[in-house]
Amino acid sequence: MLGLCGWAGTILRVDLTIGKVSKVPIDPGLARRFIGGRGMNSEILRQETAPGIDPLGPDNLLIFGTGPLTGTISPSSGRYTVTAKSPLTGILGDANSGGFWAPELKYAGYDQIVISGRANKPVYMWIDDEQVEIKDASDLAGKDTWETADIIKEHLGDDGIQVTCIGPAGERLVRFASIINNLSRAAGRTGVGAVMGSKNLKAVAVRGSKAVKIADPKAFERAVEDSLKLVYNASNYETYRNLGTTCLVTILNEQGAIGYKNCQAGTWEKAHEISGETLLQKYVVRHKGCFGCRIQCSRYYEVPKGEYAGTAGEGPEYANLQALGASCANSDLASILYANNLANKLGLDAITAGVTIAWAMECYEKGIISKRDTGGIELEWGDSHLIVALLEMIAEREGFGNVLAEGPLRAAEKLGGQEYVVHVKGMPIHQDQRTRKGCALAHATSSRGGDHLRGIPIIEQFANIPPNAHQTLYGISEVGHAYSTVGKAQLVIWNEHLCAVADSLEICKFATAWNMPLTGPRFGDFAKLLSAATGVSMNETEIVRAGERIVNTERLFNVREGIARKDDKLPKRFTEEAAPSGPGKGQRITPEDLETMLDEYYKTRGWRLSDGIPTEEKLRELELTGCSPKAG
Amino acid sequence: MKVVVEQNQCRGCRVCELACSYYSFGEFNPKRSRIKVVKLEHAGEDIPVVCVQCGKCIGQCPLDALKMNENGWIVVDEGKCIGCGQCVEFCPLGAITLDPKTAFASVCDVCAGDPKCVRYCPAGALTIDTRVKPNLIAQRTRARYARRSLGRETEAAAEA
Repeated sequence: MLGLCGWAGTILRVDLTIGKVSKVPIDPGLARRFIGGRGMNSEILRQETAPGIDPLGPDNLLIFGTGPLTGTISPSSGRYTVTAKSPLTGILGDANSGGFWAPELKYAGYDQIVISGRANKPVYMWIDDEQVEIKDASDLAGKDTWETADIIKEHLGDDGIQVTCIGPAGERLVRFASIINNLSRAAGRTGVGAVMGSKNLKAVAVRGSKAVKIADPKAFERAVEDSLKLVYNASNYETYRNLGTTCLVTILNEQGAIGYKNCQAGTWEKAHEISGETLLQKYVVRHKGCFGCRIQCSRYYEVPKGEYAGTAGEGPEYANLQALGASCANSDLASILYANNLANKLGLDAITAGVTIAWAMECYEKGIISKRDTGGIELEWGDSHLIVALLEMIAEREGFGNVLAEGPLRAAEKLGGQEYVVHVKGMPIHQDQRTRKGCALAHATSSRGGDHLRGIPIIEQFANIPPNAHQTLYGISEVGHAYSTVGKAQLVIWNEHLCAVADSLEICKFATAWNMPLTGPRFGDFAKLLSAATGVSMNETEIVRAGERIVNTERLFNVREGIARKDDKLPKRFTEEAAPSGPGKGQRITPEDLETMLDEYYKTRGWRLSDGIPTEEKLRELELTGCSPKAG
Repeated sequence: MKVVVEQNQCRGCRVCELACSYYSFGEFNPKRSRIKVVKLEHAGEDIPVVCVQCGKCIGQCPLDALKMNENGWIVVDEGKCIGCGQCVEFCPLGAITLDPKTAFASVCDVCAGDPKCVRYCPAGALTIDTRVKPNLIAQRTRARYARRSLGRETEAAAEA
């Protein structure tokens, strides 16, 4: 029964060392407990890797996972997650991407690809329905992601083939290399591209002609209609449809939450020069959407004149404008668009790249890094040409780029300036979190290190929240203002579960109550979609429980790799330096604030207060097996 | 009656393909969709292609499996179709295809007057033109009459 509807039913397992491909039926219990995508990936990574493995060695797994709704008409459901132990952080690594690759994998008949080992020469995978081949990729070595996809499509003689691949950065094991599909869709963070490079795997090309079937069509149509209404009626729907995430430059600058000059300040007088509104007015020529999406937040831009004339591409997201712009004090928008394309072509995570450069600029200003370290390069704030040049040097591991390619923490171990690396658990942060206590907590607890996509409570940035909204929306009686710690632990937990479920269904979080807090689809809506699509009946409580299980299995993976309460910390910039400007001037996250919120967070989660490790009781309750949490 | 494409409105999401395959065949499978979005990725262009009901394929079928009904859309008689692909080769838009599952000719039938691609398109790129074109239908009929009189080898000339 299971495997016929919603889920495709088959997992591809590939051992690149011996070149063996096998097709394994999906484990119904695993699918039910972890839904798909991120959840199933994380559990497989935890169960099938040994503690302490080298993330860039053959023992690491590289897992591509789609969701049970992927390939259906369910709103914004065409995403996939790539999971591996991260070479950047040494803990759980994953990255999520949209575009058109994931549904194609479903149509070929597969939910997941689990890749182990290492090929002895560059290869790529070609999946054509049942036919799966590991093909020679010698002629693709060194090609950027755009060339790689073009060449593969030409070789195989079909423009409709979907390709996800790495660029030079992944091949050269840059610790924050990304995986790119459809030119600009990035599985960006945690260095999954370097893991792909370490396996000598250049690309995965897919063509599928099979169906994704629905167990209960009438119920599914109703559930889709209901979810669509919730998306269309959201107060920020039109803004997102028009500007995408780039609307956040203006919004966050007004709130004092951008990350100007490596998060030294939350406001920037030149923010409007790189804002979504400016981008729309000067360079956007049309709007774009990912597969099956109704928000369609993406934009295609063209730079008509000037130094970067001819630059054309899709995006960028807010985070890229932030990291390649505000973080480095670079207000030349055309240069950011050029750098955004360049990062996509090279296969670099634009966020980590931008923030790493911003860190180096700050260290140079403070005299920690000198021209002797940089090989003569002057790291001046706002130097757009330098940013472009450094992206190339990082991807090619050339000169000073080779130092930065290791990520800011490792670079700081070598050159100093550790206290200026704005990160949690080795994952760099691009955005000022001092003025929003809940968002800060979510960065401290995120299972892939400092990151905004795991559970920040976006409602904290909403100005006019109806009275009693927190009770109605989250069942939390009291939630304080952004500067208050009250209720924030519960609020973050609710959002962490929602993000875990959305990432495992592989629906876009923008089309959920995470991004549309007041009206967007939430657990009950997901339960209806999932049950109708798969025929496996799940209610709201069970879906929430699945989200909790996913967060816990990820915590267990990290605990196994040495993570505990001691690591759920925030960078000094947020805890010791008060915000110098903006409406939140004077705010910081005091150590007491963080400890108070963490106590409440662990207590609510059923994790030990002493070390933040899940209790045996909690693990039994969640039916999590195969774990041996160390005694605290 | 036909589906009309507003090219500059399309955002490339392919929801039309999902709606088409689901309401035509009860499954989500864009390869079976009768409307297809051509994506010119480097140019950032997305162009939906769907049958304009010109009827030029009708005269190409060696087995008379295609006809235009009285409402003005093309229907495939699967009892007659042998999947030879002559119509596919002839269609100037590439809008008629052989279904990957059944191998019969597959072309937009406007969902019998309620096209689901139009209903589901989130970008307003698709509309429906409800005008039936009786003179066009008459023209097709004349062409078929002429073709029969003259023999198949000259049908293209007769149509033109």
